[in-house]
Formats: sequence, structure tokens, C-alpha cells
Amino acid sequence: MIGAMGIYVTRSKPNGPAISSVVAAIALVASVIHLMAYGARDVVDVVSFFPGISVSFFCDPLSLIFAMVASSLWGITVLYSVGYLNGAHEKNQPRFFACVAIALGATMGVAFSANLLTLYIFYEMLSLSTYALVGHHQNDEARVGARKYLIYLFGGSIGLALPAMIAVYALTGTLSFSYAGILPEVTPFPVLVVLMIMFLYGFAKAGLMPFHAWLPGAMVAPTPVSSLLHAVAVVKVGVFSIVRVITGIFGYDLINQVNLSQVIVYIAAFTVIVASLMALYQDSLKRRLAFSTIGQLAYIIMGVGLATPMAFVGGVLHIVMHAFGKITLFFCAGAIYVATKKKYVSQLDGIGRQMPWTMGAFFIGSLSVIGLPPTGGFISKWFMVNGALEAGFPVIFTVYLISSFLNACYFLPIVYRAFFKNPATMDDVAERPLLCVVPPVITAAMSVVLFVGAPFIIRLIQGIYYG
Amino acid sequence: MSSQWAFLAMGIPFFTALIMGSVGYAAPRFMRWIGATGITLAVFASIGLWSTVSTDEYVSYFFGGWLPPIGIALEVDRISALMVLMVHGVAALAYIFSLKALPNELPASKHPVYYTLYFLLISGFVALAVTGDVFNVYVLFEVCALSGYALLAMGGKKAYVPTFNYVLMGSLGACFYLIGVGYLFIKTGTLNMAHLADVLPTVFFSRSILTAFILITVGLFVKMALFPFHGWMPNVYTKAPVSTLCLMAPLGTKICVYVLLRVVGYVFSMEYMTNILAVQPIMMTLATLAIVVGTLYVVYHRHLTRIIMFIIVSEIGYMVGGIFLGQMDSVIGAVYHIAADALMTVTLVMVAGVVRHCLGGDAIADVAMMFRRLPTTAIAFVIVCLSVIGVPPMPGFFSKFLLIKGAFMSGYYGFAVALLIASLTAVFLFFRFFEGYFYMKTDNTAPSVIQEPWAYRIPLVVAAIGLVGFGLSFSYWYGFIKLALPLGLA
Repeated sequence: MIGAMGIYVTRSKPNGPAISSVVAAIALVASVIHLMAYGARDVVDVVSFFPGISVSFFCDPLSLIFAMVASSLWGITVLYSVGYLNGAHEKNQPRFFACVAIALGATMGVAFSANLLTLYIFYEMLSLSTYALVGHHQNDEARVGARKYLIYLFGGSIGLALPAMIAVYALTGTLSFSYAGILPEVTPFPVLVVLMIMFLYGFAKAGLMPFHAWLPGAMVAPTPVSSLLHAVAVVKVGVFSIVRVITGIFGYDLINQVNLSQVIVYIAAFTVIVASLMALYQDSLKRRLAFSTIGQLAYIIMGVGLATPMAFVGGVLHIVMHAFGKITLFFCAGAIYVATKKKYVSQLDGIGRQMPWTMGAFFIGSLSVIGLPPTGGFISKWFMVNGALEAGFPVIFTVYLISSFLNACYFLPIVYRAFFKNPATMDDVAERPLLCVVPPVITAAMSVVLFVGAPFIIRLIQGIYYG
Repeated sequence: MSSQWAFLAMGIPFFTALIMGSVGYAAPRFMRWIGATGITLAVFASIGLWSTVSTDEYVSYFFGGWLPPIGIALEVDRISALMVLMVHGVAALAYIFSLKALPNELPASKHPVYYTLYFLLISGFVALAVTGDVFNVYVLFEVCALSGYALLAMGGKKAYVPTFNYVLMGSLGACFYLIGVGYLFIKTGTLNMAHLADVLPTVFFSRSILTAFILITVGLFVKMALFPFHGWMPNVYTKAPVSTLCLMAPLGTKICVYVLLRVVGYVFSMEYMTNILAVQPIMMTLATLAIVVGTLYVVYHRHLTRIIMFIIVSEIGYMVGGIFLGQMDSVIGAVYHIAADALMTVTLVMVAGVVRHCLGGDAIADVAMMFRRLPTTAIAFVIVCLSVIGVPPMPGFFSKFLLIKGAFMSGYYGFAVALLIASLTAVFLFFRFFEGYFYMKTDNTAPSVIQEPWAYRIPLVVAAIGLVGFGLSFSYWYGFIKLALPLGLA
């Protein structure tokens, strides 16, 4: 069933109208909900390659959560893309929708992978399909961005993740994920550290510094791509892969035993602080959002890397919360661009009065990313902060707090400018088109709903940790 | 009947060559049909051989019923059957391709002699894969080389000097090999591979055997263009006609790697190589250097044909390294890679040929907007590039996976790093082409869509599908090769 779903998703490459994308998205969401209801945990082998390695899929709460987020946001993004692409007069729309669909199929593949090899296959597929999206404009700027994108992602995956994967296979003879971990306990500590670092940086989609530079570069893509792929699918696939490696290859028992958390969290903490500081200085709205994403991704890795129940719940929850929050922000940035052609923070004076719905959604989204109630981001951050104390890392606790403060510093001035400063010129700007305004409002509302609905997801995640 | 397949696989192209030679001048219009029939039958024979060894594992054929050591024997195990399949598969693709490519390159009066040599070369390659006699290997080297020299030199005046260079180097390599075989014969009194493998352990510590080993391996290294003996190859291949290139570039060097595996793994035995001689570190250094140097050269070239040549140089390093790592997985990886690389190279060369003929050049600057203008070629190119880079589930990924794993297991980390660097460079390299045809615009005078002729399109499509299929069926080949591996692997 799960395998069939994976195939179904990859087959649903619409060659033309966006309508088929919407239909496919709805079907996909339905099938994920179906899976959620009848949670099947058995592994489905599709093609077998080596003894102990095959392309196989399975389904656990972690994959469900991730699949649910990605597929539901896909549907909303398709709606938004229709508005955006027509509003901004983009060319080559069929190719655009086809590539997005392939990318989503690959994301689903990653979500349901039962072993590292399968995950790797879909990871590469995602890199390739999004390459065409990043370079969508086919001009020099796009070319530079796309080249950087490719060098970082392939450099990471082939140069670091692939050898690490082969080393794991040579050590253990298997690559299947198991919450008990598959690496033997006798593995020497230096080997473990090196492997962990290779995986952390190898999955460069997670944007850990210094492997982050592709993300701001990839902002040359049309905004729907930035929002779906670079706030949700691509970067979250990187994080998800790392979560899988931490929990499924190393296993929490091993990590706690040899105190591998230190390595993970300090690498991530560095990224959190530096990315937040850099975000402060970005004038381009999309670039600011990109740096914010880098920081938030490192939050998740930090949460999962702390290896305590609380922090793990917080980390996984943050995948969901950040996805909804950040996609709202990107949608808003795109809507502003379509309506006014403004790309820079410094141009946004007074825009909130002209586009109240958009900027209202922006405000909610930024609250969620900063981690303030009444939005979902608060809950995930609450768990992560408590987890840091629980794990006995006061430094990390401080890092969380400082960076939250920095988040507020780089988001709230935008909102302030938009609503309380007078616009430089009073040009006739209105909210348009409709399909650019509704999606961010929906996702912003979802952020608030998730604040209320979080316990459901938390129970799912706790099932992973204790089950 | 089943043992006849071994002879048929070799004999059919040979007799096709003879018929071509005689009919070609008398009735040129039948020529392409004779060739097509010959190659089709040959492919069938190789499939027959493949299915036979799938059940029997081993086929022997004795010419005239004379048993060795007096008679000539063909010995076919699963690895040789895979090689035969590879040779005929690639030859069939190359033949279809040449139907359109050759008239662009050679006047019709030369076609009969060209195709005669062409089929002679094919039969030489097959015979190398199935022979069970070290001296016959030498003879067949000369069969291949002599027909190959002529085929390469047909590229016109600019091809003469590089071909002459190749004649010198090739003869030298063959000469080394022959002298090595001479030592073996003096010491053991036999030339049959299986017999040699039985007798050799009694004289393992003899200096003459050591000399024989060195001469034979060096001779083979020259023949297969392993760095630093690669100098002859890039020049002679880039100047040759594309139709020749389709046959020679994928098979010429690969089959020598296969012979190396035969001689080192089965005649001398892995134990002799690793434990008694302890030459593994030297060989691994050579293989690693080959990969690195090939990769470095690749970066400096902007013409696809030339780039392919240096990719071959580094791929040869992969295979030699895989054989000398002496791990079970690495040798399987090397054998699998011989076949995979033959398929990849023929696809790449065909792409280069199409681009040269249809767009007028094969530099990066010439491929602008290729997705629009030559869609089939462009897609085949993307697929083969993914395989060379090593993206799963393409064949290039699996061989690389096994080779790197073998390198980790036996502690040659440098080799693993070299493989990864080669992959990364391939990414960089091929995406320069993709960027070329994704971002560059042509001037408006160029035609917007060029339809490839069917003789170009069919082999490209088949090769691309074949590549994907070969990758997806990896587990089958893994088990298939595993049963025929030489003894004494870790």
C-alpha cells in the first residue's frame, strides 16, 4: 500500500494544467490521512539490490507527520502558484508544475524510506528536480544560484553522506532504520564522531553552517518554489534525513551512552546564532527569510540532537510548526512582490495599510517562527527549551533564548514598518490577485490552529520515542 | 548444442566479416542487410550463451574435438558470458549508429572494407572473452589491433600520426605480453589457462614467474591505457571516425581489463598477487593515480569527445583498482563496472557523434538549447551522465558503492577518496553542459528543432533504457557474477 502510494505520487506528474496538480495534491493528502488512520508499520520491499539493501518503504509516525505537512502544504502552494505565476507573468509553467510534482514525489519517498539507501535515492532525485526550479528564470542570476545549489548539495551528498553511508554498511552489513540503532556499541568513539559529522554536513539540504550558502542563493527561484521547497520540502528533507540518521542509524541509546549529543548540538548552536545575526543585516526580504530558515533548521537538529524525550518532541514538532510559519512568510513576500514589485525590507514602509490581510498573515507567521503564543511555534520551542534543561545543557538553553530574541529583532521591525510608518509614495496598491492572498491567510490560520491542536501531534511523536 | 553457443558467438561475426568482404564489392546494396543479419544472429548467440551459463555455469568448447593442451579450447564461465553479451550488445548499437554516421564520414567505395574489418574486430573482442589459452589471447590482441589500426586510420590524414603512435604502443604492449607468456611456457610447458592455474603454484617462488607476471601486467596496462601508459589513447580516438569510436572506445580498453582479471585472478591466482608478491600497494597507487589524473584532465577540456577519453582513463582506474583490491565485493563491482562502463561509454560517444553531426561541434558552446533542438539525445545524455556521476539507481552508483566499500574494508582510503573526487568532478563537468543547454540561447538563424535520424535515435533510446535496466537489475547481476569469481578473495 505504501509502496503503491510512493509510485502513485511520482506518476502524478501533470504535464500541463495546474488543476491536475491540485487533484493530485488532494488525493495525496487523502491517502496520507488514510495511512494515518490505519497506521501500517510493515516494510514493503520494491526492488532489492544487495543482500541487506533494497528500495523499501515503511511508515511510522515520523514519516506520517512529515508526509502530512509536505502534502497539505503542496496543495496550498499549487493554489498560490497559480496566482503568483500569472500575476508575475512567469514562463514555462508546465515544466514548473511538473518539476514541483516530481520534487514532492521525491519528498514523499524520503518520508517513507525504510532504509538509508532508499532515502539517498530520493534525496538525489529531489536535488535534481529542484535544480530546474531554482534555475527557472534561465538568466545569469538564476544560473549562478542554480550552480551554487548544485555544488553544495551534490558536494555534500556525494562527498560526505555517500562515503558515510558506505562506511555504515561496511561496519554493520545493513542500512535499515531501527530505533534501537544499527551501529554496534563497540564502534570506536572517533569513528562515531567522524561519521556523525559527515552525515550532518553531508545532508547539506539541512543548511548547517558552513554548508548553508546555497539557500540564500536559491532564492532566485520564483517565490512559490522558495516557499514550498526552501521552507518546507527541500530543507526539511535535509533535517528529516538527519533525524532519521540520528534516531535510526545511531540510535538514542548509543548517542546517550557515548555522549554524542555534544557534537551535534554545538555544531547546530553555532549555526543558530550566526544565522540569526546574519538575518539581521539582510535587506532583501527573501534573503532575510532564508537566513531565518537556516537558523530554525539548526533549532530542529539541536532539539533532536539533545536526545531527551522533551527535546525530541520539540524538535519534531518544530518541523511542523516552522513549516507552516515560514511558508506563510514566504507567501506574503511573494504576494508583496506580485502586487508592488518590492523585494526589499526598506521599501515596505506603510505597506500594511495597503495590504492588511497579507501583512496580518505575515505578523502571525513571524510570531510562530519567533515562538510566541498563540501560535504553534511557541509549543515546539517550549519543549525544546525545556529539553535543553532536561539534558543538562544550560548553554543550549541560553542559545535558544538569545536566538528567539534575535528572531524578534529581525521580524518585528518589518511588521512595525508595514503598519506604523508612512509610505514613501502613495501609489495605488491593492491586494491582488486573490489566489496570492488566500493561501497565506490559510497557513497563518493553521499556525494558530496548531497551537490548539498540538497535543495530538505530540502524542504521535511520543509514541516514536517510547515505542 | 549448448556448448556451440560459445563458438557461434565468436564465429558469426567472423563469417559475416568474410561475406562482407566478398559481397560488399559485388553488390553493395545488400551490405547493410548482411551486417544487420550478422549482428542480430550474434546477439542471439550471446543470449543463448548467457542462458546456458545461467544454468550450467560453465561451458567448454573444443575446436575439432581436440582436447587441450593439444587443441584449442574456448572456456566460458559467467563472467565471460557477461562480456560476450556486452560486446554484442554494444556492437549492435554501434552498428545501427554507423548506418547513418558512416556515410557522413567515408566515401561509399570504402564501406565494404570498413565493415569487413568492423566485424573482424567484433569477433576478435568476443574471442578474447571466451578463449581459454594465454597464447591465443596474444593472437587475438593482434587480430583486434590490426583491424583496429585500419578502422582508426580511416579518420583521414589527421588520424595517421596518432594511429601510427598507437601502432607502436600497441605492438609494444602485445610484445611485453608475449614475452611474459613465453616465460610461463618455458617454466610450465603449457599455455592453457586452467592447466597453468594448476601447475603454477608449484613454481610460485621462481624469479621467471615473477618476470612473467610483471611483463604480462605491464603489457596489459599499455593495452588498456592505464595511467601512465594512456598517452596513445585520447589522440587516436578523437581523430577517428565516430562509427569506429562507438565500437573501439567502449570495448577496446574494457576487454583488456577483463583479460587482466582472467590472468591475475584465475591464472596467477589472487593469493599470488596479494600474499606472495605483495604488489597490491603498487597497483592500487597506479589505479588511484589513473583516476585522479583522468579527472584532472577532464576539467581542462571543453570538447565532449575529448572529455569522454579522459573519463575512460579514470574509469580504467576504477576497474583495475577493483580487481587488485582483492575483496569479493570490489571484484564484483569491477566486473559489473566493465559492462556498465561499456554501455555508458557507447552512449556518450553516440551523443557526442550526434551533437557533432547535427550541431556542427561538440564543445559546450555548441549545445545551446539542446533540450529543444535534440530532445532524444539530450535525455539520453542526462541519463548517462547520472550514471557516470553515480546517482542511484543507475549502474554507475552500484559499482562505485561496491568499490568504495571494498576500499574501506581493505584500508585503501585514498582509492575511495579518488572515486569520490571523480564523482564530484563529473557533477561539475556534466552540469556545465546542462547549463549550456538550459541557459544559453542560440541565435535565431539556427533551426529550432532538429530531428535526429532514426539510426541515431534508436540506439540512443535503447542504450538509455538499457542503462536504467542494467542498474535496476543489479541484484541479479550481483548474484550472477558472484558464482564465477576467482578463488581466494577476502
